[in-house]
Amino acid sequence: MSGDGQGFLYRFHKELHRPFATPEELLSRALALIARRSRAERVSVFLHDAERQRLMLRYCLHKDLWFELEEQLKTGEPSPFTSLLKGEVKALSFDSPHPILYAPLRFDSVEGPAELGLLRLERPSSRKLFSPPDRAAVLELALELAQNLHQTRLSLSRQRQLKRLETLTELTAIFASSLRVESGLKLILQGVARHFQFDRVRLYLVNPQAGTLRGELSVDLRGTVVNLKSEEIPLSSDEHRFIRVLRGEAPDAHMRPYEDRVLYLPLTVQAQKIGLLIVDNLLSQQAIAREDASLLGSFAGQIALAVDNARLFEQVQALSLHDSLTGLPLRRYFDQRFQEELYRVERSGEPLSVAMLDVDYFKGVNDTYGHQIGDLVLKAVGRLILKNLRKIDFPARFGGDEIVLLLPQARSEDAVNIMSRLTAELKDLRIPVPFSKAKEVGVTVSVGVSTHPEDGRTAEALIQRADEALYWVKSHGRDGLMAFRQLPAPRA
Amino acid sequence: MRELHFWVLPNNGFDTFPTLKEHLALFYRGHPDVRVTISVGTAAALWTNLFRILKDPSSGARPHVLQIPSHWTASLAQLGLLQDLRELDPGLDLARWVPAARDHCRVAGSDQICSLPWWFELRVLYYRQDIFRRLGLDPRRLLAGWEGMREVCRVLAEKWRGSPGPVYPIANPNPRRGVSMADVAPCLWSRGGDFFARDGSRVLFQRSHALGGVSDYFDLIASGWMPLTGPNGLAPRNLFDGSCAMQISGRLPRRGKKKLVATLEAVPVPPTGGAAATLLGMQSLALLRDCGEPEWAYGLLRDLADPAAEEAYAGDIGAFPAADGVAWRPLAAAPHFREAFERSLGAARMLPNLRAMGTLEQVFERSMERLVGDVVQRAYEPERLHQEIIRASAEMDYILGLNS
Repeated sequence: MSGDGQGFLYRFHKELHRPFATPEELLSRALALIARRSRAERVSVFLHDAERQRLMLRYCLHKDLWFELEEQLKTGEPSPFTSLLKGEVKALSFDSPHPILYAPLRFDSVEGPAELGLLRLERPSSRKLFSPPDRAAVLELALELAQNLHQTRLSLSRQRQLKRLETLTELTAIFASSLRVESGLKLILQGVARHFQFDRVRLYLVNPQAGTLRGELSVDLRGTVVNLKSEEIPLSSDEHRFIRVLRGEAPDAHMRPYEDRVLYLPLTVQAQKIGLLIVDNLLSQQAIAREDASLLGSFAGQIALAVDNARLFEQVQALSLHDSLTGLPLRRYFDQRFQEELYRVERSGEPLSVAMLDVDYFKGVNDTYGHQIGDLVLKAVGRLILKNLRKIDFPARFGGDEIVLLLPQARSEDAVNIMSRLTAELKDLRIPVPFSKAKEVGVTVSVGVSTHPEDGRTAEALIQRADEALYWVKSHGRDGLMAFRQLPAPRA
Repeated sequence: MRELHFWVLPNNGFDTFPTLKEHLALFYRGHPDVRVTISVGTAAALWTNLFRILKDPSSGARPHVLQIPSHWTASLAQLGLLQDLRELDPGLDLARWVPAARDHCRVAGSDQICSLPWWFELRVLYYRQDIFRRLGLDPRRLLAGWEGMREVCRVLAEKWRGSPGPVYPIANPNPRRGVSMADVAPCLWSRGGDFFARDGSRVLFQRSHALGGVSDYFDLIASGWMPLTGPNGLAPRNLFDGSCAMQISGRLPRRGKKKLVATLEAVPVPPTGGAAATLLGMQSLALLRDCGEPEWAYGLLRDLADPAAEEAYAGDIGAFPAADGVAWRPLAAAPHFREAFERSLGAARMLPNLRAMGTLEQVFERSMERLVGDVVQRAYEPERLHQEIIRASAEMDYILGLNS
């Protein structure tokens, strides 16, 4: 290379030997310099995609203008381009349809050859052939560019890894400190989707009692959360892909084309499979980076532990917050929930009703048939209430045979309708009493209803008003329903 | 100085920049304190960059105005990427554009307008009269149907084997060594097949009519009649560089190549089945949501979508303006192609503007890429096409399910 050429190479080296935020930034600067030095009207970069065995044309500088383009050359097959990439030939030149020069973006590092891609230089207008000195200069510049491109990629990869490790630590902390399992899962799935930039993240958990793998949550790239609880797959299913993956079997052949866009991570705690985390890029159709896959793989262990802890926490919570006889929440759980609901309706202005329910002549049942039958009555009433209420309603055993129900989003007339339906169902209830003459005992209830904010704004006031309405029903023959606001005046 | 970023597709190859710059004059006259930076990238690059913006809004460049294939409008709007133009211009009326384009400006069932039509192309088959004459082939008879066109390919391939000059019977209109939905659509529709159900609820192209249409098109590649690679690693050869005898294209030939244009004639795309069918491919302009400067960006979009501006720009790139009333004016300068385009118009359809259309196109192209790989490695079997279509259909059905 001439002295002038050496000088240019030094300037090129100085220009590129600094940090670039992205490979595109490096390439746009380098291509402009290469075009100037080689007097090429068009310089294109093909980047090597080793997994797909392709050289992908991504960027092109044409007369100082930057293009993002798409063309590809296969490298799996024997071809001059494959030989160039592998260093078997130094450069390739063509003079048809116009002068073209290909130079490899490769170098030999201590870890082995780094085969990054190819440079293509063209002179479509001037049609002047690339001379041997041009060729020698381009090869030098291509080598320098390859080393800088490799460094930029390494540095970016390190930054990404660091950022992701920070993310994982942050997510683990959020997850571990979360009290409610559902919100913890939501946060972590949103975090995984956002920080790893997946299109969608889904979580399925093993339900050992039901023998199923049950959907929990799905979060997409816009943060939208979808409840997957309706999805339940028997663990005995040999056909279902999720079950096979959970068992540690390889996904079926049909999944091979999706392997780079869908990732299954079985969640295991102490050799027990507790669930499956599935991430995908099906919407964007972009490949999931290998480094992301392996990083997430190591994170799956932490998710599994946290999920398991949260489940145990949930079970302990359930035991301490629910009445073992009726299965209904206990009063202290109700009180906590009531406060949350009151806080919510004060802000949203939505209605909220409270119903107090009392089993008619319950003391008589106990006295006549014994406590065992009394317990059966309460158990059946509790089960029927849990079965018939709306998902948003919240019943609790208030004490003895009294049950209280929170009815969110229900105005007084809605609450009366809901409770009318429930009392009608309860009337059909028959508790078998084999030793009695009648062989069974029926159940009726009395109900009083109050509504926020008309009847009161505090929990105490609303319960008292509902109780007043209940008292009115009980004193007027029982087996009925009354809203506080409909009590005949004077109310008290 | 205010700066607006405009992302365009390579509408005019490497001349996209200079052509577009000339057409920004109108906007600059009204906005002397604004500079427009143009970035040119393919649809795949656009797709990748839009997902980058979506997933990491703080990273890299963002456009104010962008060109999109019109059938991506619903996909991108659904992802929350496009600005509702009615918010900026409540009086915006789509009646100014050709009727076919109007449904492609919005998401079905929504009043929002998320893109404005810019220009379109209508696919016809061009052929070299001189070559047909020299070989004694009757184009009108042979090119009236797909079988006849295959016969021409067979004759030309046989004749040109090992000879210099134009070496391929027919060019691939896809410059990426690939096959897209747009490429196979006329064949598939002509056989009575379709890609998707009308309501977009399920995939239909695994059915026999559609499968036959894809197979008809792919057969041109598998038979070696349609080049997948260009010379020396350049883009594939085409009719307009003199390398092929025929090409399906939606544009009018460029004005600069007078000698070549004089040898060309056009006919509607030969039907593969009972019905004539072709593709009308529309390009639209949209604003990125939350791009900043929405009023200025809308000013640029409105000027570009002005009927006179559309006519001038489309004319320069050999396309047709989307503005109603001026759409066919470019044919006045190319009267000998008029008949082919007019006959094709009645049989023209557009790819559907489904909520997941962008993704569905990617899935289809990936499948075709695998088949092209088989052809290149001389491992292609017609049965593989069937398998790929079934696999792609299953994936597309799943994706449609996600968006329902």
